[in-house]
Amino acid sequence: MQIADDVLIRESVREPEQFGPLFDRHAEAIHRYLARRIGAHADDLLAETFLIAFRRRESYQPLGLEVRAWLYGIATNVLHHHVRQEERRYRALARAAAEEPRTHADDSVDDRVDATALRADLAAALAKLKARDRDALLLLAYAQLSYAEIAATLDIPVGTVRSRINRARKVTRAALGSLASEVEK
Amino acid sequence: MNDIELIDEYGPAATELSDEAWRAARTRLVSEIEGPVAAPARNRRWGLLPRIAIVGLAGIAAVAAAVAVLPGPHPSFRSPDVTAQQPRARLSFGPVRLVSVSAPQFPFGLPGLGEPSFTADPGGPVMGVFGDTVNDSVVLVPEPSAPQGGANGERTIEVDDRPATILSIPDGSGTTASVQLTWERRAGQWVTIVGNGRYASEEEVLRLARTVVDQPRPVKFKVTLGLAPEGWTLGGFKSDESSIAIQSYQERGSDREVHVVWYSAPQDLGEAEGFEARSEVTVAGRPATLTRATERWILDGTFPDGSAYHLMVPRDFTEAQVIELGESLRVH
Repeated sequence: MQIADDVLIRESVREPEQFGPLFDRHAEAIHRYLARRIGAHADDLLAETFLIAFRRRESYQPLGLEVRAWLYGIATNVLHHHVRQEERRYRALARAAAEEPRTHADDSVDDRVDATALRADLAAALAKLKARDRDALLLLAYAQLSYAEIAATLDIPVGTVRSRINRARKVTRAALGSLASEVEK
Repeated sequence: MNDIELIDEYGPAATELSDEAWRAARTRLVSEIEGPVAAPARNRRWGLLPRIAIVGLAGIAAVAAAVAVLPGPHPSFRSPDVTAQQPRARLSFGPVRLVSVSAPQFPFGLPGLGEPSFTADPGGPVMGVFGDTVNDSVVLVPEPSAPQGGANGERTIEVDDRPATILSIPDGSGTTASVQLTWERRAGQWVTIVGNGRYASEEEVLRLARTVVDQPRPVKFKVTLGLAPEGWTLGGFKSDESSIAIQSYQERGSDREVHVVWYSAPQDLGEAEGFEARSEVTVAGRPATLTRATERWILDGTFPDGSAYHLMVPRDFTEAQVIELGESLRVH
């Protein structure tokens, strides 16, 4: 039976090697989150995230926060040092997508939607968000954390999470345009 | 599908986590876990043996070695690896001394198994990985000294009348995933060979061990530094050979490093974190940009073939040393 993440962290305070399996379990997901936000630089930030996690393992509090969410929080903090790079990437993606020939989205979503344009508009919208609003939104959308987990991860009240996500959703809904309106009906 | 799911669906895609990046990040973590003064890796639970098996299973195109930069030849078996050449006259008056370094060499070949790729753990020797497929590979490790042994399940045997130990490593289902043999190939020369996948049987590993030949070859890097701080270690290397390559040297026991990134074409990397000042300089006769930031120097320039480099150096190096490091860069 697999040893639980929080047990490994607790044991790793006494036996540092116990921390190793946490990398094997979570590296791919954390990298995916980082790479969606910052592109190729995620390779380096993945290492940084786990190094910080290892150094802070004694401060991990299992109550109300899974190790997975805790790691997403560290990754999000690491990204704070690269906010401009993240925003530049979004703008570059928006430009690149805008220059691509238009194609249609997967039929399973909505074949009337121009997927390329949607991606361009969404990338541009993500670039416009305040960094802290974007953190909350993408922890919800990419990492599938709950509001409570995001609150614990970012060390803010749940109400603040809600207001940040609401603010961010107004911007991104505008980018998603008619598709977002239709799916909400 | 609600708007949050649409963001997940249509938001920027992730670049895939490559084996090289996974391994490099894991190696950095292992290094941190094991600390700056590492005991022999094989005696640790997250140590050499499982990592070799992983190396064999994952396929290799990266090196993350940590071979000390010393101002003279290394003793014994380590000498073919990264060594400082003759210590140059003092190149500058900064707090560190720069010495010449050359690419490490790997000493062995395995006839019939083609050219190896390479990897290494911090503090350990460069390992050669032979075989074309991800799951079926043979790893050769030149041991710097007689191994201490002691792993659970290890047996003492003889290979051509010389001492050896052999160990089978099961996977989760109980099938043998890897077989590791360490033997004294010649007097004082210890070698470890690991067979993964279809090479994971004692008979096959013993057969392969007897086919090992002396075949020194350089470990190829896309970009190399010809100088490195004396006493620092080759801390990491990764490359996709076509668009990006990284090499770094690290100071033992600290996170200070000299880090060079090679790009197939110049990149707009934006303003450096902690930016303070920028100046135009000449490096190897070519224009370059030297950026001073809070924690580091950054030197950006191009090679004659149009490719570019991005060199990051700790701030306590002198400006002259940064230029010297830049001038020592070579692309291959």
